[in-house]
Amino acid sequence: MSENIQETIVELINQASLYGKDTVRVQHLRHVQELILRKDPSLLDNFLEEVLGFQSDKSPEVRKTIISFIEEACQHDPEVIVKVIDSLQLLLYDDNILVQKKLVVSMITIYRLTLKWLSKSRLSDENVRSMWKSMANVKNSIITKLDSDNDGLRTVAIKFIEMLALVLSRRSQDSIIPASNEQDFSLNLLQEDHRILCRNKLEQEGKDVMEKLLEFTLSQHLSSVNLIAAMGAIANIARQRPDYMSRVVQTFEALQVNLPPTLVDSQVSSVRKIIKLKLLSLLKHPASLDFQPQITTLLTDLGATQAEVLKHLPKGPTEPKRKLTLSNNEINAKKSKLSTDDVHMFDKDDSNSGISGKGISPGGAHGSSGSSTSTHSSSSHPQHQTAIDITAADLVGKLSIGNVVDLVLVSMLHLPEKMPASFQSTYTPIAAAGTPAQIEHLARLLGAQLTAAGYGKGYELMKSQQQVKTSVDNDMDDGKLVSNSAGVARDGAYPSSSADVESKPNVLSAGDNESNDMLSTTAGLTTMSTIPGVQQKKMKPFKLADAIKPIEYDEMQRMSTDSFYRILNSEDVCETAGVGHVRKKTMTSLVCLSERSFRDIYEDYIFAEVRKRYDLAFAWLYQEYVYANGYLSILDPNKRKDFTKYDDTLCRLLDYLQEKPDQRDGLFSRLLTSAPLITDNALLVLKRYCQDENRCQFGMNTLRDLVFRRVNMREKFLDILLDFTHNENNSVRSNAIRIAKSLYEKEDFRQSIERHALKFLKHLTASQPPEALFGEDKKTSTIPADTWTEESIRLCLPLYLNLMPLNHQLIQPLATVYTAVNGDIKRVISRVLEIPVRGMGMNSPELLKLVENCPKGAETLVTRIISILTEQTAPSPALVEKVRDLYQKRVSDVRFLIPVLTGLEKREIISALPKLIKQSPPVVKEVFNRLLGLNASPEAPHTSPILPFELLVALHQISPEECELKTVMNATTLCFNERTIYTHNVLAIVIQQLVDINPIPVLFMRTVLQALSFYPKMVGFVMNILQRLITKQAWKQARIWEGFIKCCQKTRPHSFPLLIRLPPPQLKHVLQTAPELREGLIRHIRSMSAPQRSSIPSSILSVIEDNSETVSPEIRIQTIPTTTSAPTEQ
Amino acid sequence: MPLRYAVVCSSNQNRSMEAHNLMNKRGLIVRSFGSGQQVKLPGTSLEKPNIYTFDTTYDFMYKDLYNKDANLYTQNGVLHMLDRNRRIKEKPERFQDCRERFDVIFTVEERIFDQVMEENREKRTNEIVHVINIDVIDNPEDATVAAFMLCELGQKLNATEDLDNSINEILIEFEQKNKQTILHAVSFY
Repeated sequence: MSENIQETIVELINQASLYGKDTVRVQHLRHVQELILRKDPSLLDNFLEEVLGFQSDKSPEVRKTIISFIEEACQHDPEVIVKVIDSLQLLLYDDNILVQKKLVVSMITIYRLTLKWLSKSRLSDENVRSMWKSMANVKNSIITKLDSDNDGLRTVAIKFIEMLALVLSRRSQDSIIPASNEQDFSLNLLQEDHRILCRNKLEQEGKDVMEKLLEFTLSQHLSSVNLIAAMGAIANIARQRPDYMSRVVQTFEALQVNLPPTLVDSQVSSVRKIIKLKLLSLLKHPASLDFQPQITTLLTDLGATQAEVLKHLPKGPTEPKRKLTLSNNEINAKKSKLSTDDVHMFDKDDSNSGISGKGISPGGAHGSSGSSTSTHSSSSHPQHQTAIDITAADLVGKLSIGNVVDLVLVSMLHLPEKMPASFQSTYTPIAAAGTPAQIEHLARLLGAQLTAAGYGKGYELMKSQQQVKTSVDNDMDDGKLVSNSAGVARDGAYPSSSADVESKPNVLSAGDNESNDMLSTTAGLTTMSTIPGVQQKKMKPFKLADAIKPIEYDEMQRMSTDSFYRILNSEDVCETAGVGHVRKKTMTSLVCLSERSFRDIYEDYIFAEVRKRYDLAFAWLYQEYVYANGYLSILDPNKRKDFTKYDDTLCRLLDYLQEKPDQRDGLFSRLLTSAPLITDNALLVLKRYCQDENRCQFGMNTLRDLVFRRVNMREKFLDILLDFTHNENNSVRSNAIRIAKSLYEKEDFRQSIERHALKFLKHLTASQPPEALFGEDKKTSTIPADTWTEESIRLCLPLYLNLMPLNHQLIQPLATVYTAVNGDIKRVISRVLEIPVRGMGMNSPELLKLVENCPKGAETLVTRIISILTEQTAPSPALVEKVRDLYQKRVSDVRFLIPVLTGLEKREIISALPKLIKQSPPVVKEVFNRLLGLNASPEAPHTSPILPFELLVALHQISPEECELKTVMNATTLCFNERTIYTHNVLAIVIQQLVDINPIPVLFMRTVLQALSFYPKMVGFVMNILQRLITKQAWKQARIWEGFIKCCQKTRPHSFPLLIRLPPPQLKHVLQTAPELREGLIRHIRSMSAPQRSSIPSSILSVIEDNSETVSPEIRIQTIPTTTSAPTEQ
Repeated sequence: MPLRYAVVCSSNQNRSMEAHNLMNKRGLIVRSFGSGQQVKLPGTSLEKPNIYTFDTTYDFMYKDLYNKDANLYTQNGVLHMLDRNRRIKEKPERFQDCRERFDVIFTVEERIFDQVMEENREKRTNEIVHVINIDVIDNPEDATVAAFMLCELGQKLNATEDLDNSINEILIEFEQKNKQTILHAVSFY
């Protein structure tokens, strides 16, 4: 059987631990609970652990079920409590409010059971003690839940306190205990000398919580549910512990006229209904006899009918029954008691005259028990009771008609606009106005109000007594003196209600059941002997410093560092719990407020995984800023702003981010752009960053972002950026210029950038390079600082040059500066102009304007510009126009024309040719290149105004007066060398044209010879030309004739037929000049056929055969002087 | 966990059963009770009601009244009501005899509310029960209207995570909306 159950249980627990519907799992667990606790409790030990395992289940319903299980297990076997106390403690702090609530509810039973078990148990081992300690913690924690935000939790806390007040007090004879609570624990069951439980302390605790509960009941802003629960609780307590009857009735009294203002109409009526029900239930209680007048008055106010009240009055037989229960001792003591009761009653007559007034039978025995109870009450809680009583008594006499009218009139002023809900339902027409009973009721009402508000005779009196009492009570905790006196008094008294009195020896009770003399003596002694001691003790004020031991500094450091590490290491936990932001805030605050140590740790932590944790760095920086600015409320608001720490933090962060090998994440830039303030030191870091060759790109981009985003520091950043445009390092410089150019497109920055560029341009006019060129690291610079070098000259220019294509007007100041600088600088400028000028293009009006108004001294610059412009494309008509204009009007340097040559007219070119070919060979070469289109790019087809043959012809026509022959010769040679252009066809045209010119140009024959040497197959063509020369009597021009002879020499044997046709004197001259021809000629004639030979005139033949030296004198005269570079060799 | 409701009227015939019927249909966990000494049904005149004990079945009452005056009891709707009731459960139940626990107890008269509050139970578990009273006149029309209100209220309460903490607000809202004054108190098992 047991085996089967065990198996079933194992199965059920397994089922329950599987994932599934919560309701199903709860059912399984309930089943387990039933099997274990109802069927076979011996199994509890085996399975307790397993079941408790569910306490951390994720389903609140399951956890609640576990609480039920624990509760039932404790009911079954209270010893289990030792094993489950930890679970209970844990569940008390459960996240789910319903679980907490369930726990509090169960704790009501568990706590009660624990007390009961402990009181009987002899166990006092460590486990039990520690369990009781934990139990006390749980208890205290539940008590604090009276202040919870949750209505339901407060409600169950009230119930818990009700239980506490009941178990931590003693039953008395007139306690009415419901049948179900008969077995409950009360302090009567506790032995004085229990090893763990201290009865006095517990009793005091019971009083304290009761006081707390009463106070709570009267607190304002209570919800109606709480109020109803609290009223139910105090009414229950009053019924079961009649000692509290007076306090409870009084509380109802105070409550009825002081309902929380927050209640709405229906809640007021609900609450009033419950007050009525509770009062009626109290009225039934014999112990309330003394308070019947108050209760009935209250009930009448609440609208109870006379019949209802009467129905609830205690039945007649109560009294005899009570009498029977009195113990023998008490009966013995009755006599003396009666007498004291009389005195007592007399004392109370003033305030309680209602007893006789209302006609409730004040029978002897009845009265005695009643007043005896009231004495008990007044002894347990005398201050409140009597406060109202005294004040009320004081007031009764004063409530004359005049005073009341005054009161009414005065209070008229304070009437609210709207009738409060509580008043509306409270108010009942006063039936018996002016009767003594009503006046007294009024006095009590006023008394209650005044006492509640802390005024009145009674209140002040009680206050002074209260102070004395508290000190005595405090002392009682020490217990020694009291137990002595109580020990004496306790003999045989158990379980009579008189036991109550023992612990309150300060009250010189007049109506005690015990021997009056004895008690009052001991009590009196106690009072006298304790008070001085207490006061002495009080003299020594509590000082925290005395009670604690300072921790060693090192230890403290270590602990704080450890805890900081723990926070750091809790990253994942915090993230999953969704409190990452709290952690971040905590850490940054700590780091910010701490000294150096945390900061280093924190830095290391962040930088260990900076990509993931950079937000921590940012948050920290902001925190430092807030701190530096004094925005933190915890700091002295008058603290001077001090940014050194902020500065330090920022720089360190930046330094680190800068060192990082991978800069692509842009964190450096992000930190700078989002930092609340950029300090000077941070600027230095940034500058360093920008000058690093590998990072300058990021650096410059950062600078740009900063310029855009930090408007207030814009100028500063812009200056830094612009300074970098003169940096020695090419990469830094080009990146800076790139950014500067992009900024230049924005109107906002245009002026400052331009100003800066111009400033540096003007530095060139100074005698030595400017300081600014070397920046901060002058020493490391490789550029000599005292003289201009090409390097330093170039550094002043790049920004300017880069801006020129964006703003063409900048060319003007450049020209101005150009005129003012020395030759070296001029050369450098000319060299670097190419890219910007090309960027501007030849249609730029500004450039044209410069050409037009070329400043004096800037001619070379202008020439250079024009030449750059026309290097690859044909000059535009506008440019040509300007250049021509300049050439004709102001500068007659022909070199101006060269760039625009192709734009000129043929006529102009031809007229300029003599001057052009006089230039240095490279220039001449350039001229021909342009004219012949040699440099033209394939995309832009060359269109020259002059054709190649025209050019060559023009060269031949240059007169010796204009230009030396040799120069012209050189020029023609340049042409011949361009064999792709000057093909044999072109040359043929040239020669053809030249031969028609009269006189034939001097260089004609040279050209012919050249052509022949380049193109030997032209020999036929040349023969024809020579033929024409013969007809044109070429021998009349000495140089042509000379060339003719040379040509004949070169072209033999083709020239022989030609020679035969020469007139004899000329032939003779030829043969004289070139005798080697003769032999060939003779062989030529001999090879001819006879008829051919016969056609040769004999005069010719005779010249050929005549070997004499006769030369016609006219020819000799015309011989040209031989020159070094005779074309004969060609 | 769905809430457990009880509706209490005096005879467990009209008001509580009308609500029981509707709430049941709407899926609420509900039981109905009477709190009177006996079950009273209208008779031939006000002075002569038909009186049964609580352990009389609805079926018996139906047949009894049918035999007495089928016409009259059809006219005044009693037969119709009993017919509905016998389909819901066998016989009326007396609240004071029930030991089951509820989360919310609805009452329809102040007198019944008092009875429920005074009901002296065996107090052991300290679990909270809310007792709510809404006055309902004892006729079929008002019973129907009230049944809808109670049902709506029940559904609203069911929808809360933490009943104890939200009930106040819900009730205040309910009062304003329905222009009904309600009594509300807590008691403990």
